[in-house]
Amino acid sequence: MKCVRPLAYSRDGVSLQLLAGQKALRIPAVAALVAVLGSALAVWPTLIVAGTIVACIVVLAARAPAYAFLLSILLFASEGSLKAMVAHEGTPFVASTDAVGAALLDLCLTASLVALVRDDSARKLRHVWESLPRSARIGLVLLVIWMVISVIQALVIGSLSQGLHGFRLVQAYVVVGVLGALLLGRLSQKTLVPLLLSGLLLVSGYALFRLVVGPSDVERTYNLSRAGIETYGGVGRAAGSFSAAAGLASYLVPAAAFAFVLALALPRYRLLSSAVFGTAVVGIIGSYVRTGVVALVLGLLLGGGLLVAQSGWSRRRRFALLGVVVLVIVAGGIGTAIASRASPDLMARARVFVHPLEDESVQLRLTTWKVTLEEVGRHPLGTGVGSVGRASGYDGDGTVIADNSYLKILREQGLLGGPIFIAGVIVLLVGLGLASLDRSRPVDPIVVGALAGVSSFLALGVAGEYIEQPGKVLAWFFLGLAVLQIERARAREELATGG
Amino acid sequence: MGDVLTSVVERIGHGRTSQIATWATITCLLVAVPIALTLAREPRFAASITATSQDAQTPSSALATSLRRLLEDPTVSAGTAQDARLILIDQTDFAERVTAIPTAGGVLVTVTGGTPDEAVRLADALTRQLQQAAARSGLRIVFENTRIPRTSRLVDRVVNALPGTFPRRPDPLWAGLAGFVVAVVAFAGASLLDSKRRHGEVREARD
Repeated sequence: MKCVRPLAYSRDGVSLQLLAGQKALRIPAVAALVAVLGSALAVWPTLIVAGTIVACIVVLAARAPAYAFLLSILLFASEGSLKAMVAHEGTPFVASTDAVGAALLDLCLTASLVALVRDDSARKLRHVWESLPRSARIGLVLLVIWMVISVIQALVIGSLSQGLHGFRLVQAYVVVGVLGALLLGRLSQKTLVPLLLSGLLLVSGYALFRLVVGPSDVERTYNLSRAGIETYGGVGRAAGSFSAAAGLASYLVPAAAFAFVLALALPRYRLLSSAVFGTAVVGIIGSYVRTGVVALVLGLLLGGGLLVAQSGWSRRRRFALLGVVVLVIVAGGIGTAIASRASPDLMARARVFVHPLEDESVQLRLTTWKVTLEEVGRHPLGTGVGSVGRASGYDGDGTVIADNSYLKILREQGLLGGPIFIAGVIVLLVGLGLASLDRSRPVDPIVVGALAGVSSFLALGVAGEYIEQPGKVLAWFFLGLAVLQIERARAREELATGG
Repeated sequence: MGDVLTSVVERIGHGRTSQIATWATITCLLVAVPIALTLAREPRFAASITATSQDAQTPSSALATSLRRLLEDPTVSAGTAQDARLILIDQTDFAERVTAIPTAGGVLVTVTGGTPDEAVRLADALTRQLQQAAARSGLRIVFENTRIPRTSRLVDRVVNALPGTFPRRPDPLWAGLAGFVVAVVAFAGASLLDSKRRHGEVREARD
């Protein structure tokens, strides 16, 4: 007869005693925990709430890692509000409050990624690899090579602490975003899309809310305490739940491009996607990040263009789609022009759309780019990962900027790492774009939307170190999502053909 | 996700009365305890500066008027914020923290901060700014820091003993709401763990 271990709630004599003993210990333990938690909440409420949410996500990661990962991507959008409130309340830790806030969010991402990797990742990745067209495979390989070069350079060239910081700020999130998306196999489209759009609506909705009522005192104090321009002629720039306006734009630009494509091509989610797009666009305009508007337009044109290029749609439908794209771009331009009338400083800045080379900020950027390229010439092997951008300021020698994400990587990693990264991204995007245009299968709006999203983020990177901004998490996730969707389409095809 | 929600609903809808009562009690405690402890803390800490005129014939009221005029100078508020390493959102924020009241010996200027350290920094910075502003205006005023804030309440003294810098008092409503959120999230987490455990037991029984 098979020996069955008695369960805690069974009714035989031994386990009832066990149950009673456990209950006797449980009550004081719970009471002590409540007392400690209650006291801690009176001192560091935000930290305790954040810690509890993180703990719940870690538990969720063990149970449903795909949901935990998606939630972590969306939770990343709260980085500014979280850091602001933790900075206001303080922490019992030695590390800075920014570091504590960042660590909590990174813990969610890491825990969910680890759980995804443990869940039959080798098989999933093999399927993904086999389903990709050759050009996309080359792009992925180039990115992997770039990652290996980055690890070596972070350890060998320049300051180790700077290298690790820089690696964490850029390369680590590429791995997390792309790999996590690739391993989301079990999450169906019917669950993924509404969850993702709902989360993005919360993010953009909060940004809109703060644009209307103004930031909270805590958020405003935190925004003003950071380096960067957060007001123009007395008009505050929208930052939403992010640390700064640039962070908001970096997240909302890819979100808006993604939502726009879905609104055009997925009638089921049209209302939700349109809400996300509308609120995100208002947030982007309110952030007064001019490059954000340009990058979004490029994303819309790419997404709209890929949809129009699909077969299976009537000419009338394609013209209607083109008309919508043009109308949205024109409306966005009008909205930007109206928003710029809020102050003379903003009106002066808005002239960049008409006379870009006369703009002081553009001229400064061109000078910075020239200086950066000269540095690349002086250090062809690179100045070290983390030597440009936010990580360069950690050693106290001042922050080195390149005002361009690609020149940043070129300067850090030299003539080897820089071109490999740029080539890898371009080749992968082109490969995925061509795969999405495959006329032998119906259009996948999620692929197109994801490509529009990541492309608009990469366009944003031309004007600043946006590759370090919070939107990177969403953008790299979109890149992985595009790859995953292509794999799913091929898997469905193989199932249908019995191959 | 359906399993997770199901386990949460099962806990609410089909859980034993004692379990529901326990969670309700825990939630109430996690809301009430933080609010009570927060209300027991000092909301603001004050540091004082005594201003006396070097001209003995100047009445305190006139001195107070002069001082208030100096305090309305945006240079004074901006300089104070910069010196004290504080971000003051606007002049109103500064005006809420600083008061000038005539006394028998002169004028008592009181500054408040969220923590004792902040109040002291503000007082020191304001003293320097007022000295400079008074000199620019040709006023002969002597400033002296008088009262240093102390943590007098029991809860504040306990908080002061905790690691890290002295944390300012959070908003009691936020502390209570945070307790509620923690209770809800902990309940969800416990349900997840419970459903995982039950899932494991069912699999074991099947084996």
